[in-house]
Amino acid sequence: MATRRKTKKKRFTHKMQIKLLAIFAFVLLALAIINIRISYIAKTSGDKYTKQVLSQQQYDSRTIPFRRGEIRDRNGTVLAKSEKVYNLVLDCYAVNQKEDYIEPTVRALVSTMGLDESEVRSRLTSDETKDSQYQVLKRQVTIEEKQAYEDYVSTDAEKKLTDEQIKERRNITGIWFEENYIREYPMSTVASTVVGFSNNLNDGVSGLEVWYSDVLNGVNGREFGYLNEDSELQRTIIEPTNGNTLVMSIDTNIQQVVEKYIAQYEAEHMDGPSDENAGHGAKNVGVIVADCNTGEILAMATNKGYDLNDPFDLTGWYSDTEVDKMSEEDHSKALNERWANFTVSEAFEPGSTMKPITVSYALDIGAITDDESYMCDGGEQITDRYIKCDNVWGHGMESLSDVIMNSCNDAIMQISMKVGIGNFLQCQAEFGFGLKTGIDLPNENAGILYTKNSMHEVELATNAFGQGFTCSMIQELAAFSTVVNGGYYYQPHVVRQVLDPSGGVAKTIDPVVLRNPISQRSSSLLRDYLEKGVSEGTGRRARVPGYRVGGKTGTAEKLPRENGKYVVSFIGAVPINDPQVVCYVVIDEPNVEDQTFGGFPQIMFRQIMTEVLPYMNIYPTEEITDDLLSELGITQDEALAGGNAVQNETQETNEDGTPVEGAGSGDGVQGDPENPVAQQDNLPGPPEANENAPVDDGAEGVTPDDLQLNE
Amino acid sequence: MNKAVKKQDYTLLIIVLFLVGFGLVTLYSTSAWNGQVKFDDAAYYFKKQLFATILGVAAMYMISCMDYHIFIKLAIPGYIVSLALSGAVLLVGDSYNGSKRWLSLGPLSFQPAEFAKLAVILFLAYMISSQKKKHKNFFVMCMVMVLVLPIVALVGTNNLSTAIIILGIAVIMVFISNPRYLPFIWVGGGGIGFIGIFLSMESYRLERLAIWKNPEAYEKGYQTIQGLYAIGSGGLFGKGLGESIQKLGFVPEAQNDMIFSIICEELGLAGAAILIIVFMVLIWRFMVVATHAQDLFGALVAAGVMGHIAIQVMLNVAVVTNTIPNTGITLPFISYGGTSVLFLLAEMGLVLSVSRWQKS
Repeated sequence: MATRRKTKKKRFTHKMQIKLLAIFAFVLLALAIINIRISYIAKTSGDKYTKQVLSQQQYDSRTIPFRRGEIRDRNGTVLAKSEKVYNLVLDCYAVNQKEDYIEPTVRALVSTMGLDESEVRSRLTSDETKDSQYQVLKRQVTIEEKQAYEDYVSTDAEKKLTDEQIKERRNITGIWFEENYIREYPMSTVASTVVGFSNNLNDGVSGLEVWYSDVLNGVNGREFGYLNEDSELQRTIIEPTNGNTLVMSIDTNIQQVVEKYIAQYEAEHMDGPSDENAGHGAKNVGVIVADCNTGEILAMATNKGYDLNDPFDLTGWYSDTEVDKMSEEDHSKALNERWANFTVSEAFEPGSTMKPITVSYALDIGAITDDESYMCDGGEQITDRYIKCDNVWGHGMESLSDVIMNSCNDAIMQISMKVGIGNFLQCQAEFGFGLKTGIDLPNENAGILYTKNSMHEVELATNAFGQGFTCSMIQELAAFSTVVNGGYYYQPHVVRQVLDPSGGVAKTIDPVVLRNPISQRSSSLLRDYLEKGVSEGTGRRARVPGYRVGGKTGTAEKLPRENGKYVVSFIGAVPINDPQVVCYVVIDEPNVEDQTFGGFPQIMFRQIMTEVLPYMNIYPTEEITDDLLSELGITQDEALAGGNAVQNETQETNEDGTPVEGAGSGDGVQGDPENPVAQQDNLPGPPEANENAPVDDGAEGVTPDDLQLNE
Repeated sequence: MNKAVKKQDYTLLIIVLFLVGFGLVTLYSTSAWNGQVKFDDAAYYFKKQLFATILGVAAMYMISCMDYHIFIKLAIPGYIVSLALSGAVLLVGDSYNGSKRWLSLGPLSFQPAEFAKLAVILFLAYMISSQKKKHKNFFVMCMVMVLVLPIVALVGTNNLSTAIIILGIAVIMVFISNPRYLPFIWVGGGGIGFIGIFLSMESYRLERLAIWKNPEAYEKGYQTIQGLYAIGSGGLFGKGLGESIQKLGFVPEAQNDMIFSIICEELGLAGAAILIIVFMVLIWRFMVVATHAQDLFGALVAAGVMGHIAIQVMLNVAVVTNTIPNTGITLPFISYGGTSVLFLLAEMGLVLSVSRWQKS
């Protein structure tokens, strides 16, 4: 306590405060000077030191590149991989340190690496490069070439070199190899639109390569050299982390079947009348094969496949002289068109393939019932417009099943009126129209729909049969799969697994049910209707001998309407009583005189399915009758082997030139909406601009197609 | 009996917490590479520092709540303990990087030199404030200084830089408490002469001077020149947090003495200037607390802490910028060092406690 009392009396005197202040002032001054000194260092030596930092990094440390992951198909076939190559690097500074080094080093480079001697010498002597420690002399040196160099340099006793030679070898200096990877596509064109490609900087440019670029990429490693406190050079290595590998749901075997038949179609129709698409069967051909119970894409192809190892080659669509003449802008446009994936990135009016979706939803919400009948009198007056059915004489009384079978517009319009605008928009939303499906591929096009405010009766009526709004192939495929699989809308996807660099499973992409727009019962009814549509209706050319097929045809006229340009399509599921696989074929502007002929997609569907179904272990359940074979124009062998004989297809095409319906007129299937005659007779003049139509800058318009003006 | 103004110095508290947080972030950035390479754990240094910081903040809080007069009684025992510990480290200490500076206690290791700084501040504050009027007598003051020499000698045998800091703290405290100026100029001159003799006694010490003048010419100037490269390459706003190249092995042990150079590289001139300004504000607050302290003991504690921080910041930054020859002095709150941050925070607790007991 005594101490305490004493200290209490002690005060921090004024003099002490002044001294404290003096110290504080000194500290302030010192710190201010140091601050100025830092600025001085940065200002006077900043550039020099920055360069120093970069150069010692280049010299003492190097990047060890990661290996970008592979892209494999579901069976493990590799479609994209990265191969190790080397860059040959010359340390000019080291070589120039001693006169004795120069000649042996130049000789070694010229004799083993086949380099131009004058080039090497100029690097060693020119002012710009003679002090450089990093001059890349040659890129993409293979491991064999590197080995050859190493053999040359080695002074192994077995080589029995003379002392002279050994001395020379030992004077070789400043040459080293920098690891690098280049991307290779062993299957070159197969699934090119899906896989896509990446540049040598590991940036994806198209397809999965760009969508999963980050997943495929790893992290670079580093080797550091630094001096420790005892000024010894030490090296440490941080190993690179290699990228992940993608396992696609694509099956290369199915993919190749699809690509084969697209190529076959192209070959058969390359001499067609179109100037624009000369040498091709159509402006676009797109095919998707998918597992309708998971959303997994099994095959996806267009007629614009390209060699992934040489993606800048436009051969096939442009001649060399055409390419030379192109402006840079046109060239990049042409390349982007080539790399685009039609099945995902382009939206078009789907046409009648929309009908089953409309009908299933109408049934599901109770707007219509299974036992109702519809009277088709060849057209329907919708407010101020008269919209004709394809069969202008009318299909007569039809059950719901007949409506799908005949692809009757009139009945669909009547159904759409019962559904109403609100419910129909809900239908489109639940089936994913106007929304991206979320498929793991770049540049997905969501299409353009009418909105609650812009849709009126006319738009409702035409949208109900697939005209006047646009969607992509993948949207239609996902929606149709929902109709047949029991009502589950699966998100389509192309990648099913991600493997880590050591091969373990890093991630499994399970099927995702996004929505459940219709019930099992509605789905089951639609399966019956769709089966009839193929066995007896408009899709009869899509019959696959031995299988129960259900499907729907589509024909949509493109904008501007008077040009006679069409998108024809077929979508079907097999076996329709228990759908396993869905296949959608779209031909955009077929290169034929009469583009409305809807047979080509059906034939392609049949050809693809005939080969794919046995491969997928889906076995025939039905008898193959001679009538069926003769109607399809194929032999029993072809039906079993996949109907791949080209000459028969040609014959069939000839036969198809005169509508098959003509031959089968006795069975009452008249006025096929896919029948060109009926439509062409009723082709309107230039369709008036629909003020309600959403504005679309693309070629695919949204003005109702089959809209007939009542004059 | 004492009139306690309940509010402690919040400005000081906020600055301390900012420095501690900033220090942890910077430490993680600079040490991640070293941690990865040496211990295969990027957060190795960070975790150890975080542990010490948490302990330190707890200690700071507890001490700031106490009446600092308790430490009057603890000043002499504390000084004796620090002498004992500093002696013990010479006999049973652990070596790291060739210096015997650590005492191990199970999994924890401890640097007695850091504790010695705190002990000396308390010891001198007590000795000076208990000298009745005699502190005006310069001779008495010299005797006080002599009392500190044993610890300076003990610490100085293997940790010269810390010994210099302790001596510096003592000089500042004596200087403040004595009204005269002239003798200090005399002592200062003598000190410089002594240092000159001391340096020339062993050739390696002179070599340091030569390296300082021209670091690029000497291999041992490597650390200095790499630090300068880091400062120079940062530019106005730096390469961005975590983007330093120099910390990747070029500046050895970047998380220790040279951490300021990495701050310059990552945050640029702007970041470095702001950090120095924060330290200036911190030192200013110490001065304010000392000036308003209730009694001489409190004022001297605050002044001692102020001297401690000021010396370390000045010397560290001066070394990094090669303004003075290389000595191993850490940057308070920022550099890696568990013992250091723990006792620094304890000192902050002391000053906060002093700030709560102010004269009206």
